[in-house]
Amino acid sequence: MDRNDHPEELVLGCINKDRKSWDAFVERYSKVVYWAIRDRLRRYGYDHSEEDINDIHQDVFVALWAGGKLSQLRDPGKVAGWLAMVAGNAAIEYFRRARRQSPPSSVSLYEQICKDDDGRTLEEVLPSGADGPDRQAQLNEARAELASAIEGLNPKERMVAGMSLLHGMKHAEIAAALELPVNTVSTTVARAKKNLKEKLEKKRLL
Amino acid sequence: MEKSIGSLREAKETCPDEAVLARYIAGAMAPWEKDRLEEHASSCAACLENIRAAHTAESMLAGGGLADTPVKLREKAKGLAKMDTGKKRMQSYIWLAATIMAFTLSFTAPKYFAQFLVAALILGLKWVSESEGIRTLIISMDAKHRHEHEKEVSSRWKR
Repeated sequence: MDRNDHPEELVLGCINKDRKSWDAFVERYSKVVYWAIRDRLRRYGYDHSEEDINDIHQDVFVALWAGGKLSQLRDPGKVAGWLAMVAGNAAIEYFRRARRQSPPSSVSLYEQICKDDDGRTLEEVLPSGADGPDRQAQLNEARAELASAIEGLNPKERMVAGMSLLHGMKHAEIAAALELPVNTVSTTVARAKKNLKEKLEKKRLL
Repeated sequence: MEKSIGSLREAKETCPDEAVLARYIAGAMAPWEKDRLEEHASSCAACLENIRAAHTAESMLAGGGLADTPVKLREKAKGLAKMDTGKKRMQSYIWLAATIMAFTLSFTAPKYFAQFLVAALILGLKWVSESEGIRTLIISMDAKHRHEHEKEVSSRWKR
C-alpha cells in the first residue's frame, strides 16, 4: 500500500508542502469539495452558475495549501467530513462576499416540518380566512410556535429533531452520528413531530 | 417572536469551527465538551447543517457515491503547489529587484524620472503577475487572515 493511501500521511505531506502528497490529496478529495459546494448551494437555494462552483472550489484549495487551513485538522482520519464542512462554509462565505447574499433564515428551513407531513408549506397549511397583514401575523405566530416547541426539548432531543426534520437525515444516520439506538431516534422524532403539531393545533394554527 | 426565532441561530462567531465539529463527529470529545457542543448545535441551524454535510460526505466517499470533479478543476488546484517552487520564487525576486532599481533610478537620474517611473510600474506589474496569479495572491492573504481569525474563535470556544 502506498503511503499516500493513508489520509494521515497525505494530510501531513500537504502541511509539509510535499507536491506529490498534494497531487494525491487533490485527486482524492476534490470530489468531496465539489459535492459539498453544490450541496450547500442547492440546499440554501442560492442561484449559482458552474463558474461560481469552480471559483469556490479553487478558493477552498487555496485556503488549504496557501492559507494553512489543513493544519487546523486534528483528526486527519476524518478529513472528508471536515472538508465537506470547510467547503460548505466557503460557499456561504463566497456568496456573502461576492454577491452580498446571506444564508436563508433557519425558520424557513424549519417550516419543512409541515412539508414532511403533508407535502405542503407552512403557509399552505394555515387555515384560510385571513388576508394581508393578518395572514402574515398568523404565519409569524405559527413560526414562533414551531421554534418554541423545539426549544422545549432537551439538547439531545433538539439535535435529533433538527437533524431529522430540518436536515432530512435518516434515523440510522442520526443514530450513528449521535451514538444513540435507532429506536431512541425514531421515538424522539415522532414525539417532537407530535408536540409540534399539538402546539400548532392548540393555537388553532393548523 | 424575535426571541423564538432567535433561538434557531444562524452561524455566528461563537459557532465552533470545522475542526471542533469534526472532533465531535469522530467521538473524540470529553463528555462535558460534548454536552456543551450539543447544547449549542441543537439550536444552531448552521452547525447542524455542517454536521449533516460531514456525515453525508464521509458515507458517500466510503460508498463510492461521489462523482469525479472535472479534470480542469483538479489540475488547477494541483497547480497551486507548482507556483510555490524555488525557481518561480527566484524569478519573482528578480522582477522585484528590477522594480526597486528602476524606482531608485527615477530619483537618482531626474532627467529620466518619468521614463524610470513608468519602467518601475511595468516591472512591478510583472512582479505581481509572475509571483502568483493576482487573484490567488489576494485569496491566499485573505485565507491566511481568516485562518488566524478562526484560530482566535476556536480558542474562545475551548475556554
